[in-house]
This record gives sequence, C-alpha cells and structure tokens, in this order.
Amino acid sequence: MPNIKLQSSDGETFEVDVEIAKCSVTIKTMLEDLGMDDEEEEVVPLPNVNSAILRKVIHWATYHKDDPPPPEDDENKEKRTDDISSWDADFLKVDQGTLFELILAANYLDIKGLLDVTCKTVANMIKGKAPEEIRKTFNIKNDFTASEEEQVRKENEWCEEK
Amino acid sequence: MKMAGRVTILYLPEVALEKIFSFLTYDEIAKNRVVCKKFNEVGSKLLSRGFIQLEKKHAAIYKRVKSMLPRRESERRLHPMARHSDILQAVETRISMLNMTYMKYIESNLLCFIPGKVLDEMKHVLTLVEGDHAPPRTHQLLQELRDLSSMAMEHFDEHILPGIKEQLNRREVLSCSASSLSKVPKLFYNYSLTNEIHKVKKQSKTHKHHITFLTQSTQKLWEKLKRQNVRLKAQAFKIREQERKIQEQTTKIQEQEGSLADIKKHIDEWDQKYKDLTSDLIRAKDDILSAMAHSRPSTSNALPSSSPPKSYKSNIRPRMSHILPRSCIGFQLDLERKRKSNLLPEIPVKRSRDREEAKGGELTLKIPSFSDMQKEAKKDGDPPDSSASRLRSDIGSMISSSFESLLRSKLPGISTRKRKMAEDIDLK
Repeated sequence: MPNIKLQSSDGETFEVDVEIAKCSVTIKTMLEDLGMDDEEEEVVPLPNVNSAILRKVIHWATYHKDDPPPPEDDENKEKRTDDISSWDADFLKVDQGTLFELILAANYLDIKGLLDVTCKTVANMIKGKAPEEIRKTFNIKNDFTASEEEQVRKENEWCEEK
Repeated sequence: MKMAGRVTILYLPEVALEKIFSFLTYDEIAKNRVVCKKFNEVGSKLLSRGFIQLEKKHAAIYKRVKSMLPRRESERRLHPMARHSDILQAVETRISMLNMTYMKYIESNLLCFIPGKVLDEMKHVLTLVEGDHAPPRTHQLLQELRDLSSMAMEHFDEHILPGIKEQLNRREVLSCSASSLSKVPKLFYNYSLTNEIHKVKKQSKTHKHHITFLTQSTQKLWEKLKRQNVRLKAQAFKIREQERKIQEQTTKIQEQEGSLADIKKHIDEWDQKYKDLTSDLIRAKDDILSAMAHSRPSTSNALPSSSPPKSYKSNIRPRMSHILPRSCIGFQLDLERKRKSNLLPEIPVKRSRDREEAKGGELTLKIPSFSDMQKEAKKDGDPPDSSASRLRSDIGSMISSSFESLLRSKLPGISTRKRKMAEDIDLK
C-alpha cells in the first residue's frame, strides 16, 4: 500500500495510506488529476487544517476505511439524526470548537461521511431546544434589532396553539 | 473550551450550516430563525428552497401517478392508484394556494416561506403517497395539511401582509429617492418623513389630476354658455323681427279695414242711388202703363177674354230659372258691376241698351216701337177678324212680356214685387 504525506497548516506531516486519504474527495481528485507517482513521496499541503484536527480526521478515516461509499444525497430521503454509530458518538465527544473545526475540515476535504456525522451531532445539539437555549449552547449573541426580532416572531406566530 | 471561543457555529460556512439544518425539520428551522441573523438567513433560504423542492417533487409524483392511471375517468375511479391521485390533487390545490400567497414576496426577497410546519406535513404526505401502496383515506391524511396551510395563510393575510406592503412602499421610496447605498441608512432614520413626503406627493398628484379635470369641465361649460348666448341673441333678434312683422300686419289690417269701410260706404251710397233709380223706373213704368191704359180701351173690347196667360207664363219661366239660383254675394257683385257700368251713362241710354240686350238675348223678343205698333195695328185692321184679334193678343202679350223682361233683367232685387205688380196690372 502506497502512502501519501499530508502536511497540516502548522507544518506537521502525516503519512497515511493512499486509500485512506482517498476518502477525502478533494485529495482523491487531486491525485487523479496530477497522476499517481509512487517513487516520489510528495507532500500534499493542507493549509486549512491544523495538526490536531488532521490527526482526528485521519483517525476517523482509518476507522471507516472499509465502509461502503456513502449514498448520494437524496432530498427525498428522510433525514435521520439518531443513526450515529456509538464509535462515532464517542469519537465526537469533543468540545464545540473541535467539532466545528472537524466540520470545516470535512467540508474542505470533502469527506461526506465525516461531514454527515458531525453535522448530525450539531443538529442533535439544536434539536428540541428553544431559541434562547440554542443561543446559550452555542454562545450566540442575539444580533437582531428589537423590531427585526419582533417581525420574525410575528411571522412564526401562526402555528402557536391558542 | 478555549477552542469554543475561537470557532463558533457562526464561523462555519453557509454550506455547513445548511447541512446541519438539513437534519432538522422545517418546523425547527422556522422556529430557530429567531436565534440570530445568520440562523434567520440560512433558515429562510432553506424554507423557501424547501417549498420549491416540494412543489417539484409533487409535480414529479403526480405526473408519474397520472401516467399510470387509465384515460377514462370511470375506469380511473376503480384503479388502485385512484386514491393516490386524489391526494395529490388535493395537495396540488394547497400548493397553488400557498404559492399565490407567498411566492410573490419570496421572489422579491421580502420574506421566506414562513410556515415550516406546512412543509413538514406536505413532505410527510408526499412520502406516504410515494412509498405506500395503500395510503390512508384522503380526508384523514389531508386534514392536518389543510388545517395548517389555512392557518398559515390566514395569519399571513391578517398580520404579515400589511407590514410587507409598508416595506414595499418604503422600498419604492428608497429606490426613487436614493440612488447610492450610502444614503440608505440615513433615509431609514427619516423613514417616517419620507413616507410623509411620499403621501403628500401622491395627494398633490391626485389633486393635480382633479384640478386639470375641473378646468377642462369648466372650459367646456364656458363654451356651452357662449353658444347658448349666441343662440339666445339670435332668437331675440328673430322675436323682434316677428313683432315688427306683426305690427306691419296689424297696420295693414287696419288699412284694409279702413278701405273695407270705405267700400261699405260706397256700397251704401250706391244702394241709395239704386233705390232712387228703381223708384224712377217704377214711376216711368207707371207712366208707360197709364199711357198703355189710354190706348187700350179701343183694343181691349175687341180682344177676346181668353188673352192667353199660358203663353205669357211660358215666356216668363225661363227667366225665373235664370234668376232664382243666384247667391246673395254673387248677386250683389253683379249688381255692383252693373251699377258701375251704369254710373256714368244717363238713364235713357241705359234703357235703350237694355232693350237691345233684351232683343239680342235669350228671349228673341221683338219689341216694336210704339209707332211700329200703331202702324201694325192699322195694318191689322185690314185682314180678317180672326187674324186681327190674334195679332192684337200677340201684341199685348209682347208688350207685357217686354216690360217683364225689362223688370226682371234690371231689377232682380225687387223682381218678385215688380212681377206681382205687373200681374196685378195685367189682371186689371
């Protein structure tokens, strides 16, 4: 199995199996476009991902390397958030910052499985919470003006039971 | 937790947020719009997109189901997919209603598709129809969708639309009064002012319209008035003309009346003269009769008593018929004419002329002069008695008839009296 060297934004190099690396569509496309050269051990720079996150991504990818390719996104498919495997759940027991960075990395590297599972995790954090609770959970500042907030609130009044 | 301060959920790119939200129901997305501006932005986009996607999905499913149904409607009802079709039709109605309500404002970026719950319900129904081969009864399945969509649309019409319209007006004002973006915030502060100005502008515009309209109508009325005045003048002129003519006519009538009175007077005078003339004539006749009476005693004895009144009468008759039918006026006119013609000449001339007339007239009577008669009488003495007596009677009748003719032709007004007198005389 040939390896490939990935360099994080802070200069750390990770040597990974090409097949594992290829779960990132971005890397896969890059390799296919540039042509595989086994002799030269070229380093692929990933300026958007730091070493801590890249390590985690590689960890995740290694665990999931034998997974079947994820199905194409289908609008008609019912979106579920309760189908996260326990390993993933354990894996994602991290602080919010790491979680969001994982999302960013998964988005940048185009790793669909990782993006799905991280997003589901965030969605689960949002689910069942009132707006104020959500603000607290994610440390979001309410940046609406009073009238704007009133407008949105008014728009949503229609389904409130009387 | 240091990391949390560095990267928050709002730091995520929009695609990531959309991905996260896509795991939530539309209802949750709609409710979480109020969290912050970013959530609102992303959520709104997802809701509007979700509605369009569901529309497309519905269209696709409906098309597929329709293609499976038979063409005949009677057969369609018995088809196992009939209920699918019914449901989809009902959903289509709902979709088009929602479309009419929201789409216009969504397209102008004024709001998003607000009722997320409706989208969820619609999605649920479509999934059921798409997947299940025996969906529940149409009514039960669609009740929730109907309720929710009606609630949403009602609320929209009552509470949201007025604000939206205000916003639209504001936008128009902004777009027409502020071309550069830097002015926009300032104008927002002055929103009420600009609104006021806008209103005033509108009002002045309408007033302008009114004024122009009114001026036009007044002009029209002026013109009408002028025309009326001209007509009135013309009519007044005509009336004066008529009055003048009437006066002329009255004067003429007066003149004519005067002339008529003159004529009457003349007539009266003529009448008088005529009466004088008749009296003269009667006197003359009397003289003649008396003269006759003197000459008669010699002949009257010899004349048989059977002096023929028959022939006398037969002589008169045609004259009667000649006289009687005359009308009064024609009669008078006749008289007048005759008088006029007789005005100048003296009576003897007239008499001779009358005689001539009588001779040449219809009677063809030969009135011999007295001298002739006397000669004839002398002659008559020679022939036998019978012939002499006949002759005498002839002469007598001739004379009387000649008088008669004189009387009748010249004095018809008193002819009856005259004739009676003549008869009386004759009888004597």
